[in-house]
Amino acid sequence: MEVDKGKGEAEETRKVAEADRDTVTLKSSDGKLFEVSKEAAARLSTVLAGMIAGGSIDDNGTDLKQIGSEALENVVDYCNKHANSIPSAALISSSISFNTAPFKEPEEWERKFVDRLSHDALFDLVEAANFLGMERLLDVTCHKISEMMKGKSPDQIREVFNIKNDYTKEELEEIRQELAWAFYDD
Amino acid sequence: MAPPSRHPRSPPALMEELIEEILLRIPPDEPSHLVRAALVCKTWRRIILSDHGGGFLHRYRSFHRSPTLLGFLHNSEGPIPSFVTTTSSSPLSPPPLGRHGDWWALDSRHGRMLIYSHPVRVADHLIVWDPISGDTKRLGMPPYPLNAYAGAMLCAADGCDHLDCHAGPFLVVFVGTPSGLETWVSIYSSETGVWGPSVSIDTGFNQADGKRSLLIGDALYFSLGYGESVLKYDLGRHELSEIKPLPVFGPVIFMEVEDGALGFVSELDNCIYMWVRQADANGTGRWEEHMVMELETVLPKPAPQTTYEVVGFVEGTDTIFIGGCHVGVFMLDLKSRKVKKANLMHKC
Repeated sequence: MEVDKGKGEAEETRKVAEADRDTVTLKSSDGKLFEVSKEAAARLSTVLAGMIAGGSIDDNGTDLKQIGSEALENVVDYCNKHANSIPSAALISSSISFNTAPFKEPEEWERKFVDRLSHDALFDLVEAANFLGMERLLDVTCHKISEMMKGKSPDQIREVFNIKNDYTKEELEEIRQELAWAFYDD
Repeated sequence: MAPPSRHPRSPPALMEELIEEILLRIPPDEPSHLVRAALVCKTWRRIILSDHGGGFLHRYRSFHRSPTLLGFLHNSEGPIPSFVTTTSSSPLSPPPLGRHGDWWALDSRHGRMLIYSHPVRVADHLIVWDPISGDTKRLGMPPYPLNAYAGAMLCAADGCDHLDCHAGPFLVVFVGTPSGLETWVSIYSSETGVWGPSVSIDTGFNQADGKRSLLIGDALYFSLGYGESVLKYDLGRHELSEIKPLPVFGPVIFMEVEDGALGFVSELDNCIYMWVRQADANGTGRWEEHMVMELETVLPKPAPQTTYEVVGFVEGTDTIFIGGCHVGVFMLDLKSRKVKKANLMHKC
């Protein structure tokens, strides 16, 4: 049956939800199973919405081979928390593209959600959010990582993020002289 | 199934598109932070300087929407306007004005500033200064008589998003009041290099007062007689009208109040009053009080027997400049009530 995209997906989702369970089971790369609200998964992840609408959800656990159990647990946790918070119009509108959407500050619970994560867990979660097409979670996690750079010198940023400096001493000195204004308060 | 191997993760291990998303979210209030990020490694630098898909920097400006205030010119007591930067480190230098003469900052918009120049032994002229590139352009005065004046600076590019147009074509809208009872407006276009024909209106004793303009939609607003009335110039129609009188006395600052409505703020008894122009059924319009904010809770007390004075605003934001004797000048966001101290004293 041909249906309008978008509207059709939502209808399809509702039909499935009514006929079937209201959760979906996701399986991490290391074989752990997680249950997540079908409504929240479809609303927050374009990839899961597509799988639900397309009927490619496996009742015994849909394989997500790219996502480890710790990251998937956080994804599921985020979806469930989101399902319990009042969604604002901007978050459920699928017409806003990630690249052009105006920046919206993380809400208090979202801030707390990412604040408790270790660096590794945070970076894993960014990748998982990207893989699953979770626009808002990507926004919140990227915002958190950018905040971790605030007020830091290039040296300190490298240290925090474990990045190798591939500039030569001369190259760095040249740029620092050219843009001396940016380093006055170092 | 064997668990996947765990290894410490760092952003370079993340995909480049994710790094771009992270760098995009660096707050724009301190431009040096982006420069520092470019020095972390060559990949980060390449992302920041890339011109792929309109370029990172264009995306960055569009992501953060309202332009960041990097500094301002303040017409102080002396002959040269003070140049004040508002970030902790700044790439900007003061405008290259001479040592002998008088200068008056008239307006700034779309990455350029307009300065009236009255040098010694040289005819009066206007200077268009681009603080980012440091370039200046000198314009002759419009060929109409004037005793008092004001001016506006505008980008002239069609359909421009004003995110990076400081080097493009521009317009200067100049307002002059001769000794008589009328005020005229004429436009200079950088593309033709000439002043256009003037249009004028009877403004009684209300003269142009050199205060900066306000752009809302297709209309420019200029204060006349230090807040006695407002001159509206319709850019599309090349038409003038005057809105009067204002329901308060004393210094006022005109600003946009929600969805393109003209408003103004003034200070009275340590409170900020905001008024908005509402359209009447008969099309004449009236002023309505829109908001009152007590300053006692947000700003330090000025010297005894003195009050705060509204001295300026940042167009396209809810930020006003407000100065008080012995306490200095502050930037106050009227919505969030956030306060930032400007590095500037207020005359008592």
